[in-house]
Amino acid sequence: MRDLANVALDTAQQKGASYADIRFVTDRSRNVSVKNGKVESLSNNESQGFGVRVIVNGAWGFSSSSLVTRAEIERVTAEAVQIARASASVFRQPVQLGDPISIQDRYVTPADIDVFSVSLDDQIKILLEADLEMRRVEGIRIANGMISTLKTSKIFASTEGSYIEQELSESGAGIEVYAVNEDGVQKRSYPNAFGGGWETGGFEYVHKLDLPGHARRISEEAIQLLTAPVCPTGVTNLILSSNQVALQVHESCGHPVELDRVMGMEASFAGTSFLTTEKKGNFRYGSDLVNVYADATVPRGLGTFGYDDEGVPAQRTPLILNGIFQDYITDRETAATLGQQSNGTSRADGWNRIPMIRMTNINLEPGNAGSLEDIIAATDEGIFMDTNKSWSIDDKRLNFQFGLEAAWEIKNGKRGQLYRNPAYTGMTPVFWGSCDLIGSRDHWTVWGVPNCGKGEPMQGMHVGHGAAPARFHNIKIFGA
Amino acid sequence: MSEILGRDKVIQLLQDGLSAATADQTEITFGGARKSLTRFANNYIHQNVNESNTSIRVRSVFGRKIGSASTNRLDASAIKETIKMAEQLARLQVEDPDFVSLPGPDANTGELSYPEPDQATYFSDPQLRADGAGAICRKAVANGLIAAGAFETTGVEEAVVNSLGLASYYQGTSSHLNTVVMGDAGSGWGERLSRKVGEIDYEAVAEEAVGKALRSQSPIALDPGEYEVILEEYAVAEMLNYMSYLGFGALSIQEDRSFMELGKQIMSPLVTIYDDGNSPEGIVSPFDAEGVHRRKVTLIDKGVANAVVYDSYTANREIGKHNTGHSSGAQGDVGAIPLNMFIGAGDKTKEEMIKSIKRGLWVTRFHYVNPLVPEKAVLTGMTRDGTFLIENGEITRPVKNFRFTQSAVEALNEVVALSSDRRLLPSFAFGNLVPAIHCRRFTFNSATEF
Ligand SMILES: [Zn+2]
Repeated sequence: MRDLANVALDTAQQKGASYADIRFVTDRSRNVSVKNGKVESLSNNESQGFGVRVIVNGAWGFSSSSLVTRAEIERVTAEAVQIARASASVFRQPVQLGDPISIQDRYVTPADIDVFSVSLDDQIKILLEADLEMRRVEGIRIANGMISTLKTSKIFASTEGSYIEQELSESGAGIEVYAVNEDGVQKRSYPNAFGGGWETGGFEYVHKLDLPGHARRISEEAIQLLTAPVCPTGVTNLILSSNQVALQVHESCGHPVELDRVMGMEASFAGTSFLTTEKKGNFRYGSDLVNVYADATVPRGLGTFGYDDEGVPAQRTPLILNGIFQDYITDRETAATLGQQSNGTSRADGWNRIPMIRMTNINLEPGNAGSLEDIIAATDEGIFMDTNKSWSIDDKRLNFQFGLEAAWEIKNGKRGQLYRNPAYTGMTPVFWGSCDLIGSRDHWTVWGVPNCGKGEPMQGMHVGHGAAPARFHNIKIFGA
Repeated sequence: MSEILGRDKVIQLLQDGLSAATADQTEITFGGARKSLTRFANNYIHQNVNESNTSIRVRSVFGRKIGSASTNRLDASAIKETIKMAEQLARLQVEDPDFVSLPGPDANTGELSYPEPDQATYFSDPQLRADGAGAICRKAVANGLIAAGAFETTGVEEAVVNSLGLASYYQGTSSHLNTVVMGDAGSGWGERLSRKVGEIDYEAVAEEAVGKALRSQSPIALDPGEYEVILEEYAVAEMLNYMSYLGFGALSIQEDRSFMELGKQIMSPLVTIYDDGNSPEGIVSPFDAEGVHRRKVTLIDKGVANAVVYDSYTANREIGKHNTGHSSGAQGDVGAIPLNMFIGAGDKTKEEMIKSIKRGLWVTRFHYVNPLVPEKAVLTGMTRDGTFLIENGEITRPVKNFRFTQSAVEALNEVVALSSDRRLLPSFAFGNLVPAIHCRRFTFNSATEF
């Protein structure tokens, strides 16, 4: 492959590129899903190709193809150069990448059980067992289960001399049930909604989740929700499950700290950020308890890797310390504009996309409030909401609103009445400023989010969020 | 790959694949795409990309057992390997009692026809996209504003064959331009979609977005609550997209989670919504993911929930229902969905609609919409890039953006007027042609700081 990489790098330089890189990527995935006792889908997918990124006359060009041949690499590289020349016709100032980076290395995701070594038969068995358990509970309309396993092989080579090979593997699994009555549809899922739980590593993660062991409970709760009262409206102490804290971090910390958003580079699609550069090092983002890191090195995190797609090593960067905003997540180009080095968060969704700033694992560090049950016990009055059902946030990442699957009234340290269709809303810094309890490390999970979207053309990304259950005061809640 | 292979080559490639298949039924789908996209921000081009891709997807059926596999390698051995993989998976399957058959050639009535693909769009020149981006950026700069946006061209070549004798093929193109133009306090939006890049009037987009940005500066804060509204085409198209997968597909009815109560008046009698993948007014897509000719389906007829769309699977499940050619190819809870929707035009100009409002809001578009109560099509999201107060029949002030939480069905039940002009805007895959609408009531439940 080195020879093929050099075809692109040499062609680009001959045609006038001041910088070029090429990525060869092969994605392979297997998906099994089960619905109401039958296997809904069983598929095996692969996609391979390469993408060439060049800077010519100080402007970017990129082209890509699924056909990996020497002639096609020459053609696509020439096309990338031509595109860069067109970019240069609507120009501000030359792209700066900071100091050159030259690394030769190989990274492989550590795994106990190779994700592709587990037969699909065995995976179907796990899901059908969970399905049977879910549908044992009377009144369940739909029971779903899924297991996905993925491997990505990547090679990155640049004109600065880097040549990096990576073999990444991950798996995801989850179950969900729907129950229906005249008042509407109720849903419960495990371990998380919208694609289940995800980690990098091997199939041991799916075994650890024990889907069949949680099937009965989610079904029973979905049935109870059908006749539960709608969540009341008010202002109260809000306790969130750790999977919802993870999504709250994603939307209201992870996206606003992306430096390309801050600089307006995503303005037309995802939006910008309230977190303008003068806030760096002094803005109060949250209470003293709030510590957030971008950590691409945390074991098993869905956003864990060896190198990003610009060949920058995986890092752990403090973003918020004791409630004060410290730093952004960056790529080479945006970091250079602040006189910094990239903290290694530039990733591409496959061979046919350019790398851009993406969350790695954006983790809310654990506190010392113990378990979810400890937090409930410490709360005289409030509400506990569990597992996301709906999310929305404005284009500067301030006003957010989340719907959840289920909520329980908390009174005198105990769970009481179950409520359906709970939701809460708030403004980002006010919300984090009201954080007064965070669960301890033993109750801290790095949740995988497999559906983060950004960019045009849209790029889906797999990212992670370390989170524990947490409590927030003075939060507006309502029932939808 | 940069060439169009053409009907004969593609069908031959797929037929050769079929001859290697050993399953009871086999379907092979081909997708070739050339996509180019020029992105600008801060008044310059910062991303500029191109992609040539192909894909082969195989579905193999043994009895009532189905397996599928895909690859993006096109050589004969890769296609054979993919067929083998799909067959291997199908054998691992358990029986699906609801599965009857892949669609046969009789699912297609008449000859598939589609407009000639536009070569200037299929093989778009990066300089042409740069010219469009440049025109918008220059206009923004001249007005002391900042432009960001994307100018995209797509050319696709698609085919489906199956062992029952179905063979469908077409080539198509589309081009899409959007821009947000920003001042210190307030922004404006412009967007166009067309089958031909040459029909994208980027000067008009620049004019619209810059004009709106200038009027949007220094917005006032208003209290959230119920407002009479005019939703511009951008907002309407967004709402419609969510309705398409929440309730316009047969699966959502079969699973008791659709807002469609068939035969019942659920929207204003002024509202008619239909889907037509063959209309030259839209982004033509003559057949679905199973190769079945797309039928025109009237979803909402003068406010009455009239029909939903089907694929082969959902049609076979219900007695007396026909496949309407709306397979999305997706598994899970999506199923068949309409992707080429039209809302019938009204008879008002936007100016007339504004004149008829004593106090209300003019909403340009929505941002980050998500269903909150899917079965009632209750959506939440933000307004963005041009929200104004209407007082006594005139637009008076820009206002800070609101969050809405509102059933889309109820909003369309509150429609008192629709615009006579309509605009083609993106659906989740192709395009919707929609008017602006005037609703008596629309619920905004919180506000943001800008
Ligand atoms: Zn995201």
